[in-house]
Amino acid sequence: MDTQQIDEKAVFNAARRIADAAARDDYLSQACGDDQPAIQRIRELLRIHEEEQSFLEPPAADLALTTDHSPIAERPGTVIGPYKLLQQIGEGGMGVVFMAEQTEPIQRTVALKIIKPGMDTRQVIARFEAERQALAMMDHPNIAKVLDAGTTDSGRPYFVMELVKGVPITKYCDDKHLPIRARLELFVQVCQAVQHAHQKGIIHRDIKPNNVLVAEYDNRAVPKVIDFGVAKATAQKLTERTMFTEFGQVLGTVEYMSPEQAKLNQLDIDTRSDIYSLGVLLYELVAGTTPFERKRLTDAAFDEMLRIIREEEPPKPSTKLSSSDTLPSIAANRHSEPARLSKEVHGELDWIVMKALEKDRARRYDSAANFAADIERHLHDEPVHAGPPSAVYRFRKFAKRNRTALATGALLALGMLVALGGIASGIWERRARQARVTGQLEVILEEVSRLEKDEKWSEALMTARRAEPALATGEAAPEIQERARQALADLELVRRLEDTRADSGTVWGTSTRTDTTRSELAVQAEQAYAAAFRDAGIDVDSLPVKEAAERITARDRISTAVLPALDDWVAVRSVGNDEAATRRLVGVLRMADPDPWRRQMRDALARKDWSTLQVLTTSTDLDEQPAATLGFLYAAIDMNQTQFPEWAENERELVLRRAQWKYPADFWINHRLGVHLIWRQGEHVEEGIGYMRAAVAVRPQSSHAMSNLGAGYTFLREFDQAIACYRKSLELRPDNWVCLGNLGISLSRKGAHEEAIAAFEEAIRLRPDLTTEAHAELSMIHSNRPDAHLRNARRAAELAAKAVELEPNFSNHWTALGIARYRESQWQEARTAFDKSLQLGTDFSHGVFSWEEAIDWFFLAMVHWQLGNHDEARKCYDEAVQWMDQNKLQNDVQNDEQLRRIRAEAEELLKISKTTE
Amino acid sequence: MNDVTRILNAVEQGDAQAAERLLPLVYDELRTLAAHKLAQEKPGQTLQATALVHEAYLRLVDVDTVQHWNSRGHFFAAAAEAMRRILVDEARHKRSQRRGGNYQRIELSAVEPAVGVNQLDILALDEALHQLTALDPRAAELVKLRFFAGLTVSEAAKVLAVSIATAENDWAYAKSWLKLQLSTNGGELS
Repeated sequence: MDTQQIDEKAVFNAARRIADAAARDDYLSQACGDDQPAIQRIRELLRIHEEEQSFLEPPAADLALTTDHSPIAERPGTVIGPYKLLQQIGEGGMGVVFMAEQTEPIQRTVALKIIKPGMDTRQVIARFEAERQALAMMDHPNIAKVLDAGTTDSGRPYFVMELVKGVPITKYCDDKHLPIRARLELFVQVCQAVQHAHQKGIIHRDIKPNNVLVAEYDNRAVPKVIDFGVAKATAQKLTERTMFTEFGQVLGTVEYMSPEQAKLNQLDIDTRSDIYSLGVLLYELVAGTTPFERKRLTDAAFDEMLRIIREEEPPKPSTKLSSSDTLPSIAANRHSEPARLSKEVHGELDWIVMKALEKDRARRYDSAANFAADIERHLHDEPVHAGPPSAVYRFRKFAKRNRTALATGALLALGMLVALGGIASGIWERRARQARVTGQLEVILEEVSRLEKDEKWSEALMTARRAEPALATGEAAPEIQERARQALADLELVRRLEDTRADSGTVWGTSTRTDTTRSELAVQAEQAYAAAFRDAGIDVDSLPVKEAAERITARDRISTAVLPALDDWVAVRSVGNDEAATRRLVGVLRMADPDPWRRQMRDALARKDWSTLQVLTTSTDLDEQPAATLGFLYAAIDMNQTQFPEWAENERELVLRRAQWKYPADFWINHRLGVHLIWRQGEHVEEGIGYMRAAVAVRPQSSHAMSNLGAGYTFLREFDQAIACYRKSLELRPDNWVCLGNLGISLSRKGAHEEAIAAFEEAIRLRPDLTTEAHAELSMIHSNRPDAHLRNARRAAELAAKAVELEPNFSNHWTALGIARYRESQWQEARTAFDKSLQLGTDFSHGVFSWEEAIDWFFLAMVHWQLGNHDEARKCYDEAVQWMDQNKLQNDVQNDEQLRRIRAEAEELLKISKTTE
Repeated sequence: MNDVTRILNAVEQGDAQAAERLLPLVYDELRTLAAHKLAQEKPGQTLQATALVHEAYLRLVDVDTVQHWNSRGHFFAAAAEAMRRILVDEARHKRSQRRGGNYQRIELSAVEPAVGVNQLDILALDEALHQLTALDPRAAELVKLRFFAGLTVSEAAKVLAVSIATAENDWAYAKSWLKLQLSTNGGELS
């Protein structure tokens, strides 16, 4: 544009700083010489600059909200009072930390923290001064002293502290691969430091790894707690605005905040708040992560975040460890192996940590010293004071209710003890054993119900199974034993229902193209449901409806799994056209689940009242429905999509998307959305893969989800990825025949024919009547593999004939049959098959097969050549090439090795010179 | 680790192609987010692009893993570009609606640019911005970051790896330049 030598921007920016108009004009003519147009233009720019200040600028209202944006101006070299800044050594949510040199009254190096904008400086300093006396009295080797505080020239508060050249304790422990024991020893020192401060009346309020540094002195690790007094001085009222920066990021570290700090009027914070934060720190040292992960807290809305901290029971460290994806590396950082580490943490350490993390501060350790003492008891193999939380809690509740009775009882028991002396010891031993077994079961049951609440069914089942040995002894309290048995039975039922639900997906899936296969799969799912309920004592079809419903309602702990299964059962049963049986089941479901919204939905579905169903998808209270309901609503629409012709795919999808938004961690929602998008194909596949990966993450033991993830990669032609997924899926369920078929397809596309054959054969062996795809694909390998000696035309023909018999309306199968016949030199039969295939048309619902039509034409060309119709052959060949041209943008057409090979074969036979491409 | 976090890490490690994969992801997220928000709002409400961009950031980026300012910079650069496209698409869409037709999509016209402007012709601004890009790509990028992603001057300076003073100079110049260009191009002024 501007070809002049004048740097317009530089001149403009220099000129706009010159306030005096005459001086500015002088500068312009000096800079631009006699280039009058340039001078005019820059003058115009300067005028706009002055007159149009607000152009493109943020609205004033926004500015008002974001207080002070200017960054901290202090730099190395800046002198603040007696301190000279040397270099920046850290930056956190609250401020920037410099290493600084103090010159008076003594020369030393200190740490100087300048508090970031957004706080009332006078207030901060006033608060600090109020505590200054107390702070000065702290003297402990594990506490870095706060030496001074003041205000910088730019009006920011600053704090001066003893300089600690250390790293956060968690990082130190991980870097050094410290085993648990060494970590505990280090942590005990931290507790003692905090205890010292507490005795001087100082609460830290912000204990977290960044404030507990470890430095090495003489090769000895010395923890130092820093920032005492700073958090209190800089504390702000907890509101949404103080918690989030204008970037929406959470200010500070909420993971260590105690439940009482997470209240909006956090008036009475006491030393026990520090105990909680110490508990979180210990949790992290042991389990590698905080009880509530930062991501989860910061992702949550403000109120939700506070609620989690205040109310939610965190998992025990050992549970957290065993559910962690990174357990091997966590263990390695602790110089241990996964199994050993879990064992080491399970039990006493769990109890100690959880006692420090009690929501009710009265139930935490009452001092840091006692916290430390319990850890030391653990280290010395003495019995710890902390115990399984539930037992203690239950006892306290009991005691509260029966205070006087208990006091008398205790006196009586004491008297009896004295009287009976040693005679009773046998009884006591047995009682102690009973109490222990009961305690074990209670701990397990508590964990089970936590997992159930999160719908982590298979984890819950695995945990419940841990109760089996204890149950076998028969020593626990009968009431607890009964509860444990019930939990096991419930979870076993859930396992079978969820498996059946996953299987029944194939009833509606694309692998079901004929009504016969669909009803066969439906019958299978239907029987599996019936059996699962029957074995759980709920024989839906022979019990009176009311009785059946009541038995279902009684299992209320697992209703989130049972009700959706019943809905699905109704759906698969209705495929069978046994209306009486379906009505009966609907009746049971109606009684078992009186929720009016779902009733409306089910009734509409039963009446085939599509408009009501459609109205429901836009109803205002849709978002209030649980995930399972939303998932079912989508399924209902999807299964009957022909009833909603005016609905675009996107709109059906919207129901799921809204559900996923609301329940981002729900397995079924993610799974459905993933399936939906992956089979929409094209540009949707990648997004679908994302949701499917979420589903796999939520439920890694789901063979179907893993297999569907593989299907996503298959559509992208990322066969290696796909194969890895299929193999994993098969590890989870070796009899997953759908997955075996998919695996075969990916292997065959990669040219791994032997492996592909094995996969297809296994799929066919498992379900000879349903695996038409596998039949056809396997047939193609046998008739078409590159090495002609390895081909097996007979077997190919057999397989293709079976595929055609099972599914006569699918063109792929006819293609396979045609190729097999061609290989057998049965020209006429081959011709019939290809004609039939072309007549049926290509089924584009299977992205990886979309070159079928070209194959038909190439083979038809060869067939005609063999029959002596050379002109006809050439015509067919041209059709094929034309088809390839028209579809050349499709990935498959460009990349498929088989198609290229077939084309070359046709060209050779027809004596067509190689095309130049 | 989610897709965006992974891509940001790849960018961090010098994978130049990774940055290209970022844009469509961020674009989709912003659109979905906006659609979702609008579905919840009362009719007639508007959304702040800044808020959308930052919410997208929190949703897409694993803040624990991605801590480098560089990565955040890449994200916001992509977000600014995505937001520009969304707003420009919307403006075009509005214009094309006059022709009628049965064009079904989620209406996003209620998304406001990050920086408040009354009655500014987005398409005209975008055209001027294109012209600025040819002349001074850095200044144009700065405008995108400020205007479409709502970054402050100092945040944008970090993204562009220039000093704050330089960013302030660029900003002052770009504003005047664009305003002048808008009047030269014949767009409606003031």
